[in-house]
Amino acid sequence: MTQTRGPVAAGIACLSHRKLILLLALTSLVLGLSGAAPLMPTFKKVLSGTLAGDHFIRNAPTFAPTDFFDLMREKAPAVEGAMRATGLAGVLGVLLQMLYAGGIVVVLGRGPFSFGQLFEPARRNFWHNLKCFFFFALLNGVLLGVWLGGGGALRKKVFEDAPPDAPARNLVFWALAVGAVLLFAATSLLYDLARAARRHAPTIGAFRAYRFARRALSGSWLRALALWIFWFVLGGGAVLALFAVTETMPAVSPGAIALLITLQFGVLCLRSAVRVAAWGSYLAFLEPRARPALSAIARVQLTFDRSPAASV
Amino acid sequence: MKTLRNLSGKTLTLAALLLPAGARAATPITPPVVEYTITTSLDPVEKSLDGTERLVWRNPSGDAISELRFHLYLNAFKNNRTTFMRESGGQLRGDKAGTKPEDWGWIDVASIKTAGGLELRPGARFIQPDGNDASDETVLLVPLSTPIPPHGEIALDIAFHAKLPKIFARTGYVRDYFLVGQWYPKIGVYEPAGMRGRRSGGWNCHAFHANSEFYADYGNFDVTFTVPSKFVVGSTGKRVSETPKDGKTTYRYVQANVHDFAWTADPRTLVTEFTFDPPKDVPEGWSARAAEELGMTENEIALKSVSVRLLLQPGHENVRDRYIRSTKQGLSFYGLWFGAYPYETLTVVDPPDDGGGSGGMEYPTFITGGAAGPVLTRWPFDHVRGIEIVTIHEFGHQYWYGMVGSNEFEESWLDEGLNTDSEDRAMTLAYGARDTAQFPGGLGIDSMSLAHAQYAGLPNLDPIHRCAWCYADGDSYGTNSYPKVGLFMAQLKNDLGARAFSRAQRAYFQKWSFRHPNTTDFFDTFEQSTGRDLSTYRRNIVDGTSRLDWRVVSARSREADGDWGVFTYDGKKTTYDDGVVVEAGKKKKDEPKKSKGKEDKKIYTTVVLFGNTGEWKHGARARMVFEDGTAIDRDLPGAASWVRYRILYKSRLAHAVVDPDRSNLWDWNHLNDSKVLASGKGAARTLGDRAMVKYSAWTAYLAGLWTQVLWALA
Repeated sequence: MTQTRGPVAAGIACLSHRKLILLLALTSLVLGLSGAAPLMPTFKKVLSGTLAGDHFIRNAPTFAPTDFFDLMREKAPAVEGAMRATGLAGVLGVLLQMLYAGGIVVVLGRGPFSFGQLFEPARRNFWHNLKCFFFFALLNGVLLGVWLGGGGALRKKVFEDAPPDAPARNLVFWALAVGAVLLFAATSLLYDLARAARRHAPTIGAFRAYRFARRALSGSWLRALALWIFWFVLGGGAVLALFAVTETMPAVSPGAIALLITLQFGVLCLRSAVRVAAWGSYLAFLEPRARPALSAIARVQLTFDRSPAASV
Repeated sequence: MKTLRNLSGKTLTLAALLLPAGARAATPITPPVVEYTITTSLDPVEKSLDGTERLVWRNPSGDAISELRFHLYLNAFKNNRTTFMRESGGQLRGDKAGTKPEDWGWIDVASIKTAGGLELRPGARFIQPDGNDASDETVLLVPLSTPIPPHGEIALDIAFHAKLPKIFARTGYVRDYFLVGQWYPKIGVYEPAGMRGRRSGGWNCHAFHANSEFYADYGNFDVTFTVPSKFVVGSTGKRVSETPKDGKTTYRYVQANVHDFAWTADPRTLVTEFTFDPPKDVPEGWSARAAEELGMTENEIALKSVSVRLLLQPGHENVRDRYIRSTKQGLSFYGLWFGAYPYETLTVVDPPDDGGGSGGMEYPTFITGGAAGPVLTRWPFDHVRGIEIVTIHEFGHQYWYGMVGSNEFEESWLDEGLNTDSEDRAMTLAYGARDTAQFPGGLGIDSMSLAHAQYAGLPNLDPIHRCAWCYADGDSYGTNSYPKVGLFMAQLKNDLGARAFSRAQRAYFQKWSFRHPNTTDFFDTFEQSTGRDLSTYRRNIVDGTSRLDWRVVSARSREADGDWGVFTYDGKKTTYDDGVVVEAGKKKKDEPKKSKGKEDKKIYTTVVLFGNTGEWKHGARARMVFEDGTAIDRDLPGAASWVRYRILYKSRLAHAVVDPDRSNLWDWNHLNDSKVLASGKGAARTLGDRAMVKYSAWTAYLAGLWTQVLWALA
């Protein structure tokens, strides 16, 4: 990462780490396959072994929805199994994300790196990231709980007799929603920078890492939030757009199905690319602020000679 | 009651001829059983009504009547120990009753005087005709000192005070929006012997139950109500006067030949008035299609114009056109297929988002739509047709409940169920095969598949035909009264054919307009009209819980062995070894090889076993499709539990399917209707293998994306 680049440009430059992006996407794919696995024998039996598959792929009116509902009812154990497996895959995904983040914060923006260079700090920082996640979850639970729960209750009380279309009522609703996103953004930035603290202080603890993050963000909150929103909107928008394409594509021919599967993998890659780019941005943002932040939270230790000779 | 199902086919045919689809509509009974003249005023602060009611009631029977029974429906919301509240647990149709002091509702009857000035109120008492809920005060019994003679009449002057509940279960207020329904003392129905199968005359006046609606006699209503002038009002019937005075306005509405009266008041309502003009508003082709199905001319089924008043909530302007369009579609469909809407007016009320409990309800010439909220009316959900479904459904109740006055307490299927079928047909006609919802990308849901999902997903505990509060639970009531009947009627339509079905249903409407039919009357009319014995439908589907489940139990197809052994043809013995003629004592391998001829072509043995594991014995069509594209169709007889086909044919079986057109909508599980042995081959090509690849990948993709969403959040 060159210091002359702005955070956004630095993030975009990180898109050159194609192997890393592919690693994240493949991880999602493998997790997805594990989640879907309990349904595969059912699909083989139902989609290939009856006319239901034909109805589905042709989007046959009445037949396809009826078959779908029958499938959901008759094969409920397989569907439930897939949902549970997907849930577990999600948990595993979160853990893997913490693992990868430990390496990403160290190697990203410092030129080419090997997977060995990625995984060594990843392993080392895993527990740190897990502890950081604990604080992040706690912080979010408290802040969002108070904001949405309290705000929602207050809104209900204040606007009890107001009609549903009252402008003030809607305004407060949107204020609550935007506020919740901003609170999440703020905690998310703290969480990411606390993890990124290990880039500059490899042995820093989770609690001090949050103090580091708060210091680093001090005076630059608006800029950081703007950066977060930039990637949230741009990345979310792009992923959503491509997702919409995949979900509305009536793929029937083998070529179209192959294209659809490619595009679906493309969505997974896109989301991974956005995450890598966002990391690149945050690390670039942190770069000039890391040293002052570390100094501000540094523990001053007085060391002196305790040998008998010294006490004479 | 003796029904025609025991008569011979010839008699049935004769009866069918005697009851053509275009039979004249029944005229209302004159003089009517009830005549109400009500004067009331709304106190928008106290949320209450003070009123007087002049009721003229005519004894429709040959019995002397010594007591009267009244519905006091608002008392269902008086406390948490009423029959309604105990059954509903304070929750109905996703709506929750309020528990604050101002949320309860009730009605007090202060006085009941005869025309001669005799006060009957002191002798009146609450009764609980359906159970032991001593706290229930929804039925008031009024003993008479002098019985009403057969076919005599009585005039009563009743004074009442009603407190409206916070909107719940069809009626009440929220803020300053009022939906005033079931608000006045309403006399029950005295059923003479013979009516609805009764052996002796008696009152039919049930307590207000959570899973039931209403039942009342037809008559004339003359209602005057006073509200603050800032309120916009809408009401059953036709407005005949509007008198402003001292900041309040008094409205008078009258309507003949209805059995209930409701009204609304709201200062914020936006009014849209339009006229349903049949030549302009009936969708193209509907009139010709109805005429063809009914065997009538378009002139004979011509409709008349109706003045419609749409009361829309502010903020709902984006759905105004949807309300208007669906109202016109409802007026067109029901009018063309069953009979022209006979009233001059129709009021459509769009409830506020926080008053959803008053939505989706029908009163004579007055319906409420479905509050859809801001999300479900905008892209990508703007083709989720909730507004259309609810508007057409509630309008349809002008026919099945409004004009054909079946007993909603005892036979909810006759109003909700028949109306669900009619609504489904209207929706499909108006919006095509994906009538319920259409999403970007071509995915859509239709009413039949939803109905089937509800039918198949419900524990099979109750038949369709039960009293509304006798079902196992609310789900059972809901599914049995609505979608299961929709499926049954669609099954009946498929079996009878659209023409016979439509004619029978029109005949039923025409015969029973302004009357009180029951289940037997329904089947009798259908049997008379179609000339068919429909007892199997009643026994198995309406009164029973039988299911139908045809399936392909097994299907296999393999190369057949050639002939082996000694065969005698024309007295001459011929020895075969694996299809090849050999000399006696020799084997095929000993014979010189012949060039491939006709005899050497392969033959396949196909065995398909179809079975019906349901309780209802009803036929189905079977189809066996071979890899060369040849399809063999056979009818599976209703009496059979299973049918096995063994076929020797030059091609392998590609797939076998029972009921390929899905005309057996009552079939419980369609997933077992087919077996595919070979997908993606030749003329019998199916795309199951591709589907497996596509949807397996899609499922993995969604699961992978889900893990990424979690990554993003954590």
